[in-house]
Amino acid sequence: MSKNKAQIGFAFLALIIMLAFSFILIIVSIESLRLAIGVRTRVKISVDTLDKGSGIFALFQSKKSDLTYAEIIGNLRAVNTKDNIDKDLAQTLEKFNTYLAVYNETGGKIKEYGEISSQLNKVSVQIALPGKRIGRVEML
Amino acid sequence: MKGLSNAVLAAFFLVLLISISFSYSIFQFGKTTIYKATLFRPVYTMQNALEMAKYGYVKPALHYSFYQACFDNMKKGGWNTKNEENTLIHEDKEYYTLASPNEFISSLKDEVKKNLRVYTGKNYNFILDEEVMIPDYDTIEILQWTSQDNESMINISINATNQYFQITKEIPEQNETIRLYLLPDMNETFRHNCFYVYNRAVEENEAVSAVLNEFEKYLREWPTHHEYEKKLEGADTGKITDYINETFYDMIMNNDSALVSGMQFSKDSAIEDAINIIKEKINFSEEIQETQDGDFKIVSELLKKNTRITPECPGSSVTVQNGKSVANIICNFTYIADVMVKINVTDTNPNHTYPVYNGTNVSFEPISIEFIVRKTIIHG
Repeated sequence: MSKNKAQIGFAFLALIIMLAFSFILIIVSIESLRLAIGVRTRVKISVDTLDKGSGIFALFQSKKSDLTYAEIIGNLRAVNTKDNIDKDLAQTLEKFNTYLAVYNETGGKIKEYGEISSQLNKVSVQIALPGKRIGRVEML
Repeated sequence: MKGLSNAVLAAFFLVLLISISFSYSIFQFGKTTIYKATLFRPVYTMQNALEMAKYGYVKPALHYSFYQACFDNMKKGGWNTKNEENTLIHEDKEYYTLASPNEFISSLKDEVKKNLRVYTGKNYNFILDEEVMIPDYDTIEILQWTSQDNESMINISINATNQYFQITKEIPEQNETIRLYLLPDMNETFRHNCFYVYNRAVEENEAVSAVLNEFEKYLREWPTHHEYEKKLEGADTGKITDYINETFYDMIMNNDSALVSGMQFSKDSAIEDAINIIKEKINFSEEIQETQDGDFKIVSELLKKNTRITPECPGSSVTVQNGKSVANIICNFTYIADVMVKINVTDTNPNHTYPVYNGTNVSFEPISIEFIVRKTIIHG
């Protein structure tokens, strides 16, 4: 009787070990599948808590991430809807302690604003400006 | 005991099998991860570049293109091109008539398309080395309506036939080429008072045209044909042209209509007197008129008020009857009036300004439409 109990006990133990390994295998398989079908793990940047004009900041911040920029653009455009467009764009960015240069369509630098304090890499984004102008926002 | 050994042995082999499988999958997965990471990292950036090109660049470019198109066309009565019919030159300055609703929309679409090409003409650059090909938009539709909040809304949809946002990247480490596409179609709705101001201009155009039509009706009541006989005394055999004013005077005075009753005409300057009377009937102040109607400031200016009366007397003759000279003067009088009024309608609400290039710099400008109403009447 005790023999049978021991046998059952070991078989049960073996079954549990087998299930545990199977579970790990399933987890690994799911992760592989996620990567294979391109499911992204988004980097958490709290856009909601950022102020107007923070779009560009978030944009630069997220260079290393796979954040989708669509929702950020509203802020970028909002920056461009003030009286002095270039100046306002720069001043807003200054609040985030970034260093900004606004370029005209021929690549010439128009103005420079702000202070260098960012740890971020150099990035550059082309933007549409009113009056059939094309600009580029760059952080150094 | 044998049974127990078998069970342990079975479990052992099972665990061994699972472990080998697991280790192998981890090994394979590691290899795959490196490969996929090499490919996926640029794919993410490329996807972002595509989305940024479409939603972050072309979308605001479309808005700005519309703002600029409306601003520029409104300066020209809603037209984007000039031709003999819509353009008038007065004192070396060009003026435009008001475009009809269909012409207005057609011109607006053409201008938006033209403006958008400035933005989309070159590839889009994103984070230094990502270059996105932007489609050349060839289809554009513009709709307008009034929202529930009584705001003038614009809906623009654009599309590019058989074209896409496209980005390509070579991955030399993996000997792979990644190419991503994004559909070009876009449908944008936003508040803009372009049509709102245009509709007010149409109302003003109709009001001024109604006044000018009344004037035309008045002018067409003036007599145009008269036969006048004058007996000439002795040497008084002057030229027929000397008696045209008298002929006109005679015609006016014998006219039955109440048109000229109570008005003073001189025999010597009857035509000139008539011109002055007709000019006075043109019911526009010589000075610039400015009125405020809600958000709208309406400025009207009379640019031209020309009137002429041209006589033609080909059947006239001088004959001698009973030893006396008699002049028979038969004249047709043609009345020509040319009136030109410049109208400017501006939305003065400070919230209704849009960023545009105004010819000098980029600033927030109100929507303002300028056009002329012209009436040329030939009666006779």
